[in-house]
Amino acid sequence: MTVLVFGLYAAVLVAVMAIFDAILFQQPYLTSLQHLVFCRENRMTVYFTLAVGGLWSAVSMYSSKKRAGQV
Amino acid sequence: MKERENITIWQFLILMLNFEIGSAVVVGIGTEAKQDAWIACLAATGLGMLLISLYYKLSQLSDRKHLYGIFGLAFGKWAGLALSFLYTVYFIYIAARVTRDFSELINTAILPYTPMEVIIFTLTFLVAYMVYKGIEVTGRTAEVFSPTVFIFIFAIIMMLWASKGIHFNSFRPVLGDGPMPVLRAVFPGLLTFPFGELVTFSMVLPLVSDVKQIKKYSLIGVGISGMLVTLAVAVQIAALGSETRGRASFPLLGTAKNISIGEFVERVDALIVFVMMLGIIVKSGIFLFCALQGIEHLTSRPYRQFVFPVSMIVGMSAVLVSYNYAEHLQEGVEFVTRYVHVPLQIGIPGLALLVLWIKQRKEGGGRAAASKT
Repeated sequence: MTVLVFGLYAAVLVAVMAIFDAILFQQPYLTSLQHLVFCRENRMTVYFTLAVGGLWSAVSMYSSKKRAGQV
Repeated sequence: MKERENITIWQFLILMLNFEIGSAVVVGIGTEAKQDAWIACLAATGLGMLLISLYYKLSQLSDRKHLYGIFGLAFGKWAGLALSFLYTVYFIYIAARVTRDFSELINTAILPYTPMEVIIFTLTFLVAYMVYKGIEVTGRTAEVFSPTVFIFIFAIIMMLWASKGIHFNSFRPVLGDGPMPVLRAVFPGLLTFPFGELVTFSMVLPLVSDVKQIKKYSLIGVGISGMLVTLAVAVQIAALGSETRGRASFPLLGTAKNISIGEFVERVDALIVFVMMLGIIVKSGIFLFCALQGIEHLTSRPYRQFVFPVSMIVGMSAVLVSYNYAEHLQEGVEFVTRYVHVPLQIGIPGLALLVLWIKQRKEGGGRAAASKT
């Protein structure tokens, strides 16, 4: 659940920022989205976020299940 | 069981002051009004008081519910959940913009060769840890550091005065272009930033322990912070002139660089960085807290589980939000203010107040009719 919520919000945020960029630069939405996520300077930031956020989500999910005695 | 957090009325006031003056005293606000920006700030303070009264009234009508609870009460379950999702995204996005402001200042003023990602993720980890410990810790942090911030602000003004950097002629002509530039600066610019951002305090209001004092202290908080912002803007105009101020990215930083007392006390811009650092930590912390409350409301899970993942999203968004500072400002001034701030800070809360008020009137009318029969 935590991983899902994390992924959902990250995806929505990126989608929203791409909308703002597309309007500001008057360019196609997909170009903004592609530039935002896959351009060389941004790639490391995205990987870092996914790694730290995903890892923390997984750890917190595991520890809450352990507390509830499900593991 | 969900643990209930509480803050004192004094912590509430200090949080509000830091939140309001945080970035507003450092970045150039109300530049459309040129030399009359200080008048625009004063006018916006009055309107800010009206806005905080709106948020207080919402809290009062909903029996001290937070913003997400208010939406459920006013618009029904599903619309309430949809709005809660929208506001959570909004709060994460604004937390990211605030973090980006800070990293730009640090890059400009003290660490020009450090990659922005390092500054942003360091700050994000700090804010995440503070929020993880709870809003009480955020309140206490602000309480401990605030006296230093206020001393620094007044010290900068005094030092500027002592180094003969204040020129009152810069204020003239007062209202030279008529009242329209002032009105254009007030709405939507100054009303939404910094005063409209107080919408976050509708999440903090239910946590204040001293219920009776909330209204009074909210108004005092907006009043004092408005005065401090006006003072900072006036000092910037007096020191730099309206034209240079309009072009500067961080006018207060430029103002502080003018300070030179006996060619000995110089380069006091580190004080400005300290003022902004606390403001940004508090501001970013409160936005993150509000976003996490939204996720807690939507998922019915304790918000602490989401602190680090969501703060990573804040950090990532702060990097991705724009390619450079000029674009960051353009997006903030031209786009976000009109199409994001105005509906989310004024439109939807105003509508919620109207709906709650009508519902209460109907219930009151129904009850009165029932007691007559």
